[in-house]
Amino acid sequence: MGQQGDSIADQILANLPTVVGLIGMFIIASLYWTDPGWDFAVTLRNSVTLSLPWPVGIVSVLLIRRHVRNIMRSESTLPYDVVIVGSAAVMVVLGLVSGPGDATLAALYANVNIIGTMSVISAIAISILSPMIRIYRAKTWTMAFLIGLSILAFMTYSPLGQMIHPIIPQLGDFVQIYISGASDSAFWISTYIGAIALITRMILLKEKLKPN
Amino acid sequence: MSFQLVRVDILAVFIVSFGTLLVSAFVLKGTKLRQIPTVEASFEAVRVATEKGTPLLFDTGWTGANFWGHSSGLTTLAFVPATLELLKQISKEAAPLGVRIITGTTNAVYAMMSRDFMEAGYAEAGHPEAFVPEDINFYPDNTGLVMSDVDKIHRYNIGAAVMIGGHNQTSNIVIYEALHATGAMLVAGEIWPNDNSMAALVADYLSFAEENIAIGAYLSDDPVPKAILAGEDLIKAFLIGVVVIGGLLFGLGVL
Repeated sequence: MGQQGDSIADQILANLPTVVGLIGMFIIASLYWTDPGWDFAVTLRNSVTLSLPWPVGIVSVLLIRRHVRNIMRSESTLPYDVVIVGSAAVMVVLGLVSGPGDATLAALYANVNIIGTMSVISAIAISILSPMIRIYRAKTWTMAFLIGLSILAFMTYSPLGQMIHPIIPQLGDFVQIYISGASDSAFWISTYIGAIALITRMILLKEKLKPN
Repeated sequence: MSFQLVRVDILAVFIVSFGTLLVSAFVLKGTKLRQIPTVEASFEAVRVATEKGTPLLFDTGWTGANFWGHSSGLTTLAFVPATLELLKQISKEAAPLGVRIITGTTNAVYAMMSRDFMEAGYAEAGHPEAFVPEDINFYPDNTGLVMSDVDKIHRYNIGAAVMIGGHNQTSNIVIYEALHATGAMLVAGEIWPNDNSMAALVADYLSFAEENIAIGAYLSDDPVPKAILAGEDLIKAFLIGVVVIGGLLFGLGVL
């Protein structure tokens, strides 16, 4: 960490990840205010984040290493670890031998992936109703109010409300359009200001992208 | 190719806001902050996990940052250092108590950053040996992370969880459900308002995005970040004034 009395060069070197991050943000933000520029900014941003192969490779190795270690120690999760490592090995070998566009690889990925997707979507389907009777926690008056609003929303956007009384969906629409609309705007305004404040703190090296 | 300056009005607002905050950093030093309940509750969650003898789940999801070409996506990038600073502080709290922190993210870069921040937290607490890099889980999509979380919640009978970051409002219900099954204390602060709506209904402690983004300043002993937060309030007060006066003028038919 840069100490008092350090030169500017020392400060920059001590906070290199943050400084590089700030320069990247400055370039992208500058492009936002030019035309043309925004498409290039998005491409630039994506190319150094989503598409960057090395972090994905490194953290995947870290993830697999944990399961390999569990197998070597014969942990209680052995079957799970064997499946993870075995699946990863098959996919990596297939990818290396036949290339990422290989039909077998794509079919395998789709078939494995769909199991996970379906199970989570099924769980979501159950959970959407389940919390309404099981995990809502009205520990404060604010939360009780929010739960009341959520029940109103449920009745507004399902036939139930209309069946009870036509005023229920009208009230729900009012809340959605005016109350929620205004609060959403307030949320984003405060968040935008908060983001500018955070960037200000980063420029003053009070917030960092890498702790030291 | 010639570049033309566009969105000048937004640029002007940005420059004025930035200038105000910069001046606040020096003028408003000495500002005291109110407590952010979620931050306090996050540390309480560590103690709850200690009492129950279970790990603490600190899930960041996609850590708030999204990458679509929209200003809101760019804004939420600011949550990354804020979220990870909290992870560091929680690690610092957990290390001497021997509490294991299990964290997960859907972004590889954030997984690496999580490692840096957790490692720093354990080191600052004087227990670098307690840091377990394998407890940082990376799954490249939300489905994998949710499944992994649910598995871990049940396998370790997780007693406390801090869900600060970004979780899709539907998939976070699954995680909340699993946490409810183990009776876990839940501290939540989702970044996006629609995601936070479910957290508002089920969490023991809830924070809003505006609070989450201030976590780094709140946890710091440095007076400058706190002064910048006070500067935010000046801008907000001005904007509220504009809204109220604008509303009145509109109502009177002047605008």
